[in-house]
Amino acid sequence: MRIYFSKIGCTGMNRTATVKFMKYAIYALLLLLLYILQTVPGLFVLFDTKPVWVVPAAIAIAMFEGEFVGGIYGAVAGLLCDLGGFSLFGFNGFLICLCCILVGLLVENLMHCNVWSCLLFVFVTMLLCRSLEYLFAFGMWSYDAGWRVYALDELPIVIYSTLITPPPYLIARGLHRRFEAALR
Amino acid sequence: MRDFLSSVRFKILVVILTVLVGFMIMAVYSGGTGQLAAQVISFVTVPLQRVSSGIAGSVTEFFDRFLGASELYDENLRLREELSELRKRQADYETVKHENEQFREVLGVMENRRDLKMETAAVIARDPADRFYSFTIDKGEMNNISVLDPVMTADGLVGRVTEVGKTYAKVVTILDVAVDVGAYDSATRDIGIVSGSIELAADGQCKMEHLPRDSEAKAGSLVLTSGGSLFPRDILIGRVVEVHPSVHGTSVIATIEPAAPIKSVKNVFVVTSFEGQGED
Repeated sequence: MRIYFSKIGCTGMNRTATVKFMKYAIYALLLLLLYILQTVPGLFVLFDTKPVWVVPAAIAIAMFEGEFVGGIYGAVAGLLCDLGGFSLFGFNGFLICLCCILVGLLVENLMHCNVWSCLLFVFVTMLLCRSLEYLFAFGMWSYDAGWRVYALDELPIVIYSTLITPPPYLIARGLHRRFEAALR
Repeated sequence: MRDFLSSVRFKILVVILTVLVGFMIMAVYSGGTGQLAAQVISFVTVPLQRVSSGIAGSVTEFFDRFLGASELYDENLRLREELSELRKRQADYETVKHENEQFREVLGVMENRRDLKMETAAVIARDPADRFYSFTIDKGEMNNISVLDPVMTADGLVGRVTEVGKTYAKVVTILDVAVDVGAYDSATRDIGIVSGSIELAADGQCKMEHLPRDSEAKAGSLVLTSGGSLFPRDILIGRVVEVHPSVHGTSVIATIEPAAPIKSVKNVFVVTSFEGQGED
């Protein structure tokens, strides 16, 4: 990475800005790629359940980049979920943005930045999002056997999305380390 | 922490959160029309999704031949049982003849529906979190698709459009508890409402409610749309699998097996215009 920047003649402030721009662009590309993966019909389907890929990626970015950048990518990830999903547009954007801000602050002040913390954060974020989605879409309307949606659809998505956390986490960590090295 | 709360970054994040709340409020009032933000994102994502779903479809089809061998075996056994059942039915000539007439009626209807204006579309995305198999298609406002347009396949009704962007549209299926379709039983002409059920959706089935208590609807008969302002008349919905009285015994409920393969549908027709559309 460092050799690449010296080759294209970037120096000083200019180089720092270019590296940061590239880092944020690649994070955005990562979210976009994961969004495509999560919405492709039939891909990663296990027992009729598909995982949400963008949430682990946004959480991982928040852990490495802090609450501000994390919050922005959380909002983007949430809006992508809203775009592909059927909940109110902005609902997931708001919740995931909020969760990513909290994750950034927690990692900065209280918790370790490792894969176990990431698993915990993803689980809590997904549980919160899916529980509220269930509450507003089903819980409040007293549908027959509404609990089945929560037990057989929402919870499996939460668990599956938590289990697939390591790959996005490792990718985000790899990108973060490489770009940090380039910045140094 | 105190530094963060008094920083510019915190204020920017508060603004972002406020904008997101604004999106939600706008979504409530827009009534299914994609917002500007959604339109902008979709201009980037829809072409990519179109390509990726095409690739995934080809790859899945290739591997399904091998991975689906056990399913094919089960299906073969099931079909053999059905065949044996059908052979038994042959004994009752009148029943078979009646069923045949029903099929002819439906086929005739499908061939003679000149009043329907349709737009073909491909399924490009399925929401991982949706339990009613709703999906996104690659056509939108630019193809004259609008909210509430019925969606079907050559086999039968699939659902209706719930949100439209310039280049995409979201479709909720008849398995969804939020979708109601006026329908009638082709054998008895009894009318009812077809809607989704949380319990039945897992098996890819829906239910027909409000059939009269004395309805003679029975397993095997076909269910078609009764028409109106939301759905064209005489579109095949599915076949009755089972009939049972409602909890209070005031009506009869039929379990319906949709004719269209809703869980796995890849290409659909959106009915952009039909006789009686939008009339109250």
